[in-house]
Amino acid sequence: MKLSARNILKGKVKQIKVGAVNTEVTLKLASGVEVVSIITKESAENLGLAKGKEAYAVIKASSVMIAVD
Amino acid sequence: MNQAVLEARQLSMVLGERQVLQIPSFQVLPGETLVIMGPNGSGKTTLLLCLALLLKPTAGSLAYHGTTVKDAAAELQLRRRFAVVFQEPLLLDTTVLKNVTMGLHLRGIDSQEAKQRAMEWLGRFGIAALAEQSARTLSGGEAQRASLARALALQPEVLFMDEPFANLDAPTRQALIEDFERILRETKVTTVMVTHDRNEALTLANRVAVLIEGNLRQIGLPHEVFASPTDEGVAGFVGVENVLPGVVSAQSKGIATVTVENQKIDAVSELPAGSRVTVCLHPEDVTLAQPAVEATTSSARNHLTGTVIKVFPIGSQVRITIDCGFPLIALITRRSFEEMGLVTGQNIVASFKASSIYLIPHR
Repeated sequence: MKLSARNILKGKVKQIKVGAVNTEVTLKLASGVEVVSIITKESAENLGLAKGKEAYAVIKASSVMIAVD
Repeated sequence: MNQAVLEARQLSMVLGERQVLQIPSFQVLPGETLVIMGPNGSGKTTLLLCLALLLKPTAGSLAYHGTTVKDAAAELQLRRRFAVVFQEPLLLDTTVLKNVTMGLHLRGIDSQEAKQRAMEWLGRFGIAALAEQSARTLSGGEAQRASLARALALQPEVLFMDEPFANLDAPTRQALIEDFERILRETKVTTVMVTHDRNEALTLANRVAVLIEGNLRQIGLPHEVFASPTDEGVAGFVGVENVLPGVVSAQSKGIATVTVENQKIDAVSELPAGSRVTVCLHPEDVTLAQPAVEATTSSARNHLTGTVIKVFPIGSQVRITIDCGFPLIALITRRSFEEMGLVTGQNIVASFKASSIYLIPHR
């Protein structure tokens, strides 16, 4: 294992909303679940993110909240 | 904004030659759970006791719903609207039920109503079955439940609590905190609680006040205080273990590049170049990667290469200190630590997002 983050979720970029400083990226996972990420505008450009491109959502276990109905 | 139930003004306490408390203004709002946090000796308990009228400050006044409490008679009347729970349950050597009804009798409630109310509160705290048992036979957790039931049966306008869960073992504490949180939500009784436990504060507080060396350093919503501490003292206390001095060396479209030692750290901030700042980063926000992982494949803007200098397991997590020119602390799961085979002396890349950084500007 090369990365300490425990959750590495593969998906495709569904939507990109560009703001003044940040960009909101929505990834659609194979299950249909969507994950939203806020990254800097520059990082989004550096990664060459575009609609339909494959990307990973990387989430540390300590950042995940659990809720029940 | 609701008028404060209680407001302390120009509160000062001097013990010997030591100024243990100096607070210009401190408000308790109706229905809130206000948690006072701070390290040992910061004046938390002194402040709580002054607010509860159990300790006379060297100087300052207390206002109740906007009216200054002027004399002993007014103090006594007000004290009857308060209830206090201490770290020790302080139960009398009689039955659990009598411990709860005693305070009600002292406040002139007749026996039948007192018993009814006491049983209701013992029930809410899950110990109605122990009502006729001697208080001496209770476990630590049961005794504190009885103590809380006794306080809440009085239907106080303000409930004061001084580290009420500190003496309990972890599972007992967790169960009681969960029950107490539900009761607070149901009753909305105004509560002022002292603790040095961050998790208790995050679970229970509507507002958090941080006291350091007798001064109120910050008061606000829990997420504000924990994510945006106003100074290094508060940052250290609320668990921001990476607190680093630096200077903004560049500013570009809302991203400040801060120089810390010889490293550059990007932060989402409008602060201009030349600003002296303190960089705050929670260790939970740092991800570690083997040096082979290409930095350009991640959206995180910060990738610092360093050497693992210390490994310290904490329960299911491991606290890793990395020398990147300055010590940087990361918290990762024990499983990731084992899978990555991390050892001291190993080179590693610490990555974190620009939005995980909070900059405190120096005035």
